[in-house]
Amino acid sequence: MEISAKTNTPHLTLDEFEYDNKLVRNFALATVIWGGVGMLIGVLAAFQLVFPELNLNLPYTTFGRVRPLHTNAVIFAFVGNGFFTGMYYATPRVLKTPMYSKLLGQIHFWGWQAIIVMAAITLPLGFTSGKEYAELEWPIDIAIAVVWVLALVNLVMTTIHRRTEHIYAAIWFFIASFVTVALLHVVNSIEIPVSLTKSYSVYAGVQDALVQWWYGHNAVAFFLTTPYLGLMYYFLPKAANRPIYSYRLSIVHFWSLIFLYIWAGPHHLLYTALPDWAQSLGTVFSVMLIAPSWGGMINGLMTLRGAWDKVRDDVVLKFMVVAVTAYGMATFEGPMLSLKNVSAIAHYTDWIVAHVHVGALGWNGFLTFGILYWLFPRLYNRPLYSQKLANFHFWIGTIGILFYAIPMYWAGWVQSAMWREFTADGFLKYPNFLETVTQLIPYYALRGVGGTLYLIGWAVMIYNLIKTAKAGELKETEKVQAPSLREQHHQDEYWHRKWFERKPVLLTIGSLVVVAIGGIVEMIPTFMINSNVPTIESVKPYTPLELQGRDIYVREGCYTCHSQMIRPFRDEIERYGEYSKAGEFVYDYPFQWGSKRTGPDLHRLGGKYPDSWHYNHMEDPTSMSPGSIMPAYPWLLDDELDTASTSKKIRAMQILGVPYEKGFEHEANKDLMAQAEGVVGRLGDAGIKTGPTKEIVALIAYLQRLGIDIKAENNPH
Amino acid sequence: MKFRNYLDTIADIGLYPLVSLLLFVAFFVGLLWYVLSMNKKDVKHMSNLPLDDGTSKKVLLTTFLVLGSLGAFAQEAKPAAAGNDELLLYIVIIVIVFVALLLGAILVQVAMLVNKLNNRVAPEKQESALFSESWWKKFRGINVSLSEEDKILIKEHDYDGIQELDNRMPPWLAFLFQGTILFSIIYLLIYHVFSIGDLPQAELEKDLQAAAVQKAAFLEREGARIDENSVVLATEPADLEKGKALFVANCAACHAEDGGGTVGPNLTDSYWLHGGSLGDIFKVIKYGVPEKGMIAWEKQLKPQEIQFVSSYIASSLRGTTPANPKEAQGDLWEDEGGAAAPAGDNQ
Repeated sequence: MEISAKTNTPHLTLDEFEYDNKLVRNFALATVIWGGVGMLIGVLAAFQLVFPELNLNLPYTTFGRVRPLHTNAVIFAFVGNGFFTGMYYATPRVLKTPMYSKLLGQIHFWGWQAIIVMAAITLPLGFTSGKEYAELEWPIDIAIAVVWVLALVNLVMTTIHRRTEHIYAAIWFFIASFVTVALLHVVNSIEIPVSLTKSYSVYAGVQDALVQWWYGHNAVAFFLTTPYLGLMYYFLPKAANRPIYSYRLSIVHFWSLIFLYIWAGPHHLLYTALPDWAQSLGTVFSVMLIAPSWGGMINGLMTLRGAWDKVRDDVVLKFMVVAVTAYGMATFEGPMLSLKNVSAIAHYTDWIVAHVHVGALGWNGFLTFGILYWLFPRLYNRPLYSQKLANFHFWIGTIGILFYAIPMYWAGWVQSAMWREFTADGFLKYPNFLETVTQLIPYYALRGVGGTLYLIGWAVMIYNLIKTAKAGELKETEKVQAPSLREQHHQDEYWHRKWFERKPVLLTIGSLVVVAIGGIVEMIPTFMINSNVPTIESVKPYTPLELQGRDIYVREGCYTCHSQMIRPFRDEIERYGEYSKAGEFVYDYPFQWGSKRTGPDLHRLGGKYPDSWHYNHMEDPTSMSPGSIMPAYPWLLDDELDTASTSKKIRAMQILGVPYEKGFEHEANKDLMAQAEGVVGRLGDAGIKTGPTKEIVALIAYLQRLGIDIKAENNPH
Repeated sequence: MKFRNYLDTIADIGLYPLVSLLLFVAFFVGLLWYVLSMNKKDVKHMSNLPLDDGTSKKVLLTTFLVLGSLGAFAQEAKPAAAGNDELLLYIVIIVIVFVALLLGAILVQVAMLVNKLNNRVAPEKQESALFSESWWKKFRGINVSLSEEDKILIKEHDYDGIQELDNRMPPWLAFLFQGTILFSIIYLLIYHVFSIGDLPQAELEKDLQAAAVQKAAFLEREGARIDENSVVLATEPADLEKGKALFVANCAACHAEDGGGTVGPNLTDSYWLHGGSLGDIFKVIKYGVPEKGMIAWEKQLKPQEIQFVSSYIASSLRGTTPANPKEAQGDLWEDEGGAAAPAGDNQ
């Protein structure tokens, strides 16, 4: 620490110290670069749904692997780096101290980029844990936890060493975000490794679903929302040069937001096999979130009161206003989607895709852009290269969002309506699922156009920022002076000011306690009380071949387009079969319920088609379903199954409590071969020649097993 | 939707829209008559009212908002017309609620306008108005004007130049928060304490019962249902043509377009795995043979459509010579007349 005391006047001692702008600049570069990569992959994924040939018939570029790459890139690489950019700029300034440790800052930067690179390599290779937004395998999970906690330490230590008496609201949001994401990530990522690149979640079925969506929902809350609220609390008043509208509102909405958010996860699982009480908790806590969420929007928009004339001219404020408005819309829509009758329509459709992109493109994207346009002139000590280009970016980005969102809303409604429509004589009007998909292709094309427009805006921004940087010179450090902190005692201080705004450790622990409550109340009963997951006698563990096939299903990311959760609706029972029961998933490590039906539900697929149908369908889906937009999986027909892993996998399952007989791990491959020969025989009958150790054989065995156990219960032999 | 079902049960429901249309027309005719019969002095007085404080602008703005948003909703309602009444109902309800809210907002502003006009005559009345402008401002949380902001600026809050005001939480936001908490308590009471509301399983059962009643009523109207016992051979060329189209669309993937068989067996020869009578074929299509991979079509094809397809197979396809016939499977089948199948098929 380079702090030197200097005496300016006889009465006042001023410390002299430096803010590190280089780290901020580096994070900003990472934001811009990864943002481009993530959006580009998103555009690719969008057009793959229009032109399936874009899957290129390669394992690495099929939609099932590209989609997790897109979501991980934009959430953790783009928004993550965007958060850190703003955080490392704002934190030292509002606390009047340099960051506690330069080294920890460097570890954070390089560690995070290394994690992103590892993700970018492993996801296309098919190394995935199969849980949405938490796909990365266990070694990367550990790296994330380490880097994350080190960054948290740096943040809290900086706050302890501050030169202001009180801690500003932005820092509350930063600290709460770090604490909660650490908690979510660790709890959701507990896995049993089988090899360096393969692990099984320790939770199964319903419990895994509950933990995963507790994580998934709060990744949205504490990775995409609260960090950016923190950024808003710094950059919006700075850019508008206005005081924050209401200090009290920031207190109320901060604590109520973090307390309520953590409960809302089950709204992703309405009408599933999750216990009813947990679903209802998800609904009501989501509804209660409207006002706390809007508290952030109000504090943002009302801060602009008296500065609206500036919004007309200042492109930074324009971006910020749209961002805050998009935040307000998304946080109103979210609670509405959590009402069960709305969820019944929207779940599994593109409505959800539209909803999240209003948040991602509008709130996160536009706030990031606003911050970058504000930051670069200050980092490089010269005005922005071109206001015109920035304005162009603003408009093309806004149009891009509209082009993205409107077709997706429309597509969601159309498809949901088609799924549910019956004819007067009691038949599904569109019994063939494919009909409801091909209907959407024009909307998918429009969505791709919207994404492309948004991406063009991003490219224009890069040019503008590079020009700005080149014309100026980076102020690597900024020298400042401030008096050192003297403990002052105010007798009649407001309680919040006295406790949480003076004591960073208390603030950290306080937010941890507040967020832990909701998770504990929902999870512990689901794990402890058996009646929450009623057992079904006839549900048996997967055979070794089926288990291997299931791992292929996970590896290929089938869950990105196919659900395995039939909701108790008349149309779904008619279309797919008996609705899914909690007890059917007890051996599913991890659960594969999915969240989107670009293709039909697969939970009752077993026995529906012959083995040969699956073989042909995986080789070329359009051969069995003309017009299908599913990618082809030709490599599954050629690639050899890794039978060497079978015994290790069975062993891992035994540790997790799956009742295979003792010593079965040694017999497993014999069992596997016997079952595989059966599949090969049936394929041979249909004129298809293949070997028993091909991957396709294992996958077929798994698909034929899906959802059939419960039938044995209904008609015992 | 239960609501819609209730509406359906009201006799002559079509009359109601007509009545409301009449009311509308009557209102506008009345308005027109009033305007035309107004005396010129009043008109002049009104057009000269000095409303330069922005109130009239606000009223106009809100009105435009209403019209604008109506336009937007009208567009959104289109996809629903593609099929789902329930969705349409939801959208209509949302539109109605939205319009009601906006109309409420207009009314408040009109009330303020009227209030202000009255105040020009009697300014001392201002404080007694229910929704005075100051109340409205306070409700929205902007009761402290910009010029007086210094009074609520918290002096000692200064973070890198960012200051904070001591505004209270806007009352409407506080009410919204309290309202949602109340909603949540009632919601949990309804579903989990008093069990008045239907949980998913109960909802499903009611839905299925309602569907069964509907279906039975429909079949009652449409006459007896065709099944494997009652099915007769369709002979009309148009029907067989429909059968062929259905076959190409649904069956060709596994049985080949010419019936020669690929994944599924050859349908042109005289060997049948599950019997070759029209009723047998109907039954196999309807219920499927899951263990052999033939799926059940009863949920996807209507009985009459199954009749057409099976007739097409039995009368048009059987006996033809396909391009790549699959080897014969099952037993030789002869129809009741005892006529053996053409010998050429037996390969």
